[in-house]
Amino acid sequence: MIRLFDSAREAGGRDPLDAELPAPAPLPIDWTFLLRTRAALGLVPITAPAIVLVPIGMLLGPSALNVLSPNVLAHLDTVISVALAALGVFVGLALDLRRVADRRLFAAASLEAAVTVTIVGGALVLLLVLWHPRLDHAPLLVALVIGVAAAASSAGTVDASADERSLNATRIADLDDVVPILVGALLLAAAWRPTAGGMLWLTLVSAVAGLGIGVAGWLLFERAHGPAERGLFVLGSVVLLGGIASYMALSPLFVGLVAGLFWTYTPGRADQVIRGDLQKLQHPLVVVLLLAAGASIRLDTLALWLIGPFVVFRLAGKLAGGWVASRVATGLTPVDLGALLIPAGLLGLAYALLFWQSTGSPTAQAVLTAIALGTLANEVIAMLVVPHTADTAPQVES
Amino acid sequence: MDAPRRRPALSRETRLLIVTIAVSAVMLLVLARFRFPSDNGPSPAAVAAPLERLAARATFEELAGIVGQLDRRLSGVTLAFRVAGAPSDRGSTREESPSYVPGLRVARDLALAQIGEGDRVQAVVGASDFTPVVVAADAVRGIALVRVPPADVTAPSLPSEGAGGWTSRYVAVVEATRGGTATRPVFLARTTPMLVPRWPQPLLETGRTLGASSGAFVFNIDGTWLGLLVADEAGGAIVPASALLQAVDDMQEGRVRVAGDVGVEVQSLTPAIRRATGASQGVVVSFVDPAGPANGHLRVGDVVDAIDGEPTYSPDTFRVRINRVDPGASVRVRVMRDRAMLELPIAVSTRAGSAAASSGVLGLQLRRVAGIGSEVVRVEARSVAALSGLREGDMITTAGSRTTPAPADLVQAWRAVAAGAGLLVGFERDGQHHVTALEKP
Repeated sequence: MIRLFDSAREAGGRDPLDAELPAPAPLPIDWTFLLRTRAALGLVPITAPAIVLVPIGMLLGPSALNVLSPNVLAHLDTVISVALAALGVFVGLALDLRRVADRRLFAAASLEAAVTVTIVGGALVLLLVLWHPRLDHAPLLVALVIGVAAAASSAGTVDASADERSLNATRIADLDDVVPILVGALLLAAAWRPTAGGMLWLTLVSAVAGLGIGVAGWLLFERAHGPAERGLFVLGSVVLLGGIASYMALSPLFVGLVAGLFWTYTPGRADQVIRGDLQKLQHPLVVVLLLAAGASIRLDTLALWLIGPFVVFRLAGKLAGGWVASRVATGLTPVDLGALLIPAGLLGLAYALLFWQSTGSPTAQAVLTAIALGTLANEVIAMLVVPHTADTAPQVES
Repeated sequence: MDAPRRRPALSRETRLLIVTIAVSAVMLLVLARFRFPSDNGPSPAAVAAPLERLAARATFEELAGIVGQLDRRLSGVTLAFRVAGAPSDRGSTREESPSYVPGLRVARDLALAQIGEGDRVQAVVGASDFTPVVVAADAVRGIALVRVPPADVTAPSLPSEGAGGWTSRYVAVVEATRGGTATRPVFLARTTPMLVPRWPQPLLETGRTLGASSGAFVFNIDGTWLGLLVADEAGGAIVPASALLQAVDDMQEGRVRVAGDVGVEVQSLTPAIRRATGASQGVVVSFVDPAGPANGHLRVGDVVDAIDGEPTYSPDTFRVRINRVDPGASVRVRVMRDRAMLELPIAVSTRAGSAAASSGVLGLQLRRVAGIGSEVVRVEARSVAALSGLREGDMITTAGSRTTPAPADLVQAWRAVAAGAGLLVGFERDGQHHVTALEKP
């Protein structure tokens, strides 16, 4: 019998949106299945919100109904920047490495991400040099941007019902976003300041901005008189992170990551406070991000040529990265780690959107299109390839 | 009794990895052999056209945003030149009031611009420490390749459509100003294909609807390069980008068409000249080169009404019509002389001054003025003297260390100048004293 909405079959368990929805209904499928971001239609196991919201964004965008016209998208720039900063904060909050096991997981995740960036970036730089399409940026920069976007994986939210294998996979999927954000910030700086000095200076400015706002926000949270006031301060801090990054042409993901990292290591409950309050904003911001990404899609020749390589080499990169990582961090990572990390999730798409938003070049738009459509393809592949929890008992390959 | 299940030698993960890497390697090899389909870059939409038909039209605000974004994208590709020119028929010079001409990078250190004969590129706006040099010029078409500060930018892509005519649309026009280039949207209402002898492809006649100055570069609002706006009798026309790129190739490979010349200078008719000659239109001959092919046919005061039946409205029209003719061919010049209309055949020769500057010809005819120096009687176009800004009527009072130089002294001083060096010349013009440098290539 087909079981719809079986949370046990999801890596990382149900996400918060699933938890908010009514209890799973037996067949026939009720209308809410469209809103379920995972396990929809009983397909195993991860269906990301991108698969629904990106096509809706395309439909609403300038290429179709023009509800999200270029003018509207331009007005959404700052909102998108805030959403990206919030994502960065979430990644920073997940980076609590005070336990040895977490440090080992972080090393494995970083290694896996680095392998993916290398494989995808290397293959694409080779192809771009051989194809010789007309690009607005250096082929290496374009290839690495795609590699960085490919390195991010879908991070499920951990709940108590998940097994250790799923927990570790989810944790690695969280932690493998750090390397792409760091490298992505450097690449974005390189797009603006092509010299090594200028690139490092912009990255340093980003870190200082994130740290400064992190400190300011922390001082405010500590003095808040109630949850409402505290929530306002949290919202203000994140808006400030996104706004400053947008104004100074910095990476909001990196600025948010630095702030999130500061809040994680600050004495007190700052990280829990932020996480709790930001979760209220998480879904609206994610929806805006995905709709904007969908609306920014434009199918041109370069984009069509990049989709296939992005999907295939990302698959190879994730499987190879997972294979290497599970042998480095033995005893912690699950077997089939690479396969569990195939769902592309949100961060890669967010980074591609950031690159397009920052440069405004047709090449960046082609990259965004390829990554958006490639992300959808990856989600479909994940349905077929990702192993069922029930099929493979928690095991560690020796 | 069930047989024990054999555990595979390779785990599922490893098998999957091997298969994926094999597929990736094959895909890499296959894709590496493909050729990217369009040389014109990623711009042409491959699939979106049916959806775009459904899309709402952009508002003016959106258009402004798009053009603003385009301006940023084109900032490295386009640049502005400060240009000083030879005396015009209106008596003013660009030397006194430099003009600004937009340029478009066609290579890392080369830019295409509409630079006329006798014009001198003084500087690139924003790069005052760099001296731009005209490395190749097409006098017939009035364009030139100028060496500019190197920069790694991507040349704009070309539209996929041909030059057979365009529908009405907004385009972006890049013009030059004192502060650099400026991009603005213009509604292109009418484009009629128009055959012009000096271009291999039809030009897109726009009339005066474009409202932009000659020499401006025209882009689609998606950033593809449409062409160059040139002025003609009807107002304006766009030279398609593909024709310009062909001209750039010709200039780089030395296949520039040789301009025809008849050794005549002309100027516009004034009301007084009209009354004196009885001519209602045309240009009046102001100088006939004694060594030129027109000597013995035309004389100063003749009003040239038409060349090969085509009317000559202005000195520019006269020059273009003569330049278009291949050297060795003959033209029929209709002139008004002594209130009678004559038709004279004149053989066209090569342009004497076109190579003057590059060969280091001084290009001056001087007359000795005792106790003062030498008066400039004639300046050969594009010669060293012309490029230095000297013009007829100037009184040369010093040449290097010599004061009150006779013509022979000036020639002697010029010969003594080493290649790459210059000779400082002091002169008087309209009661004011100036100094300039005659630079030997």
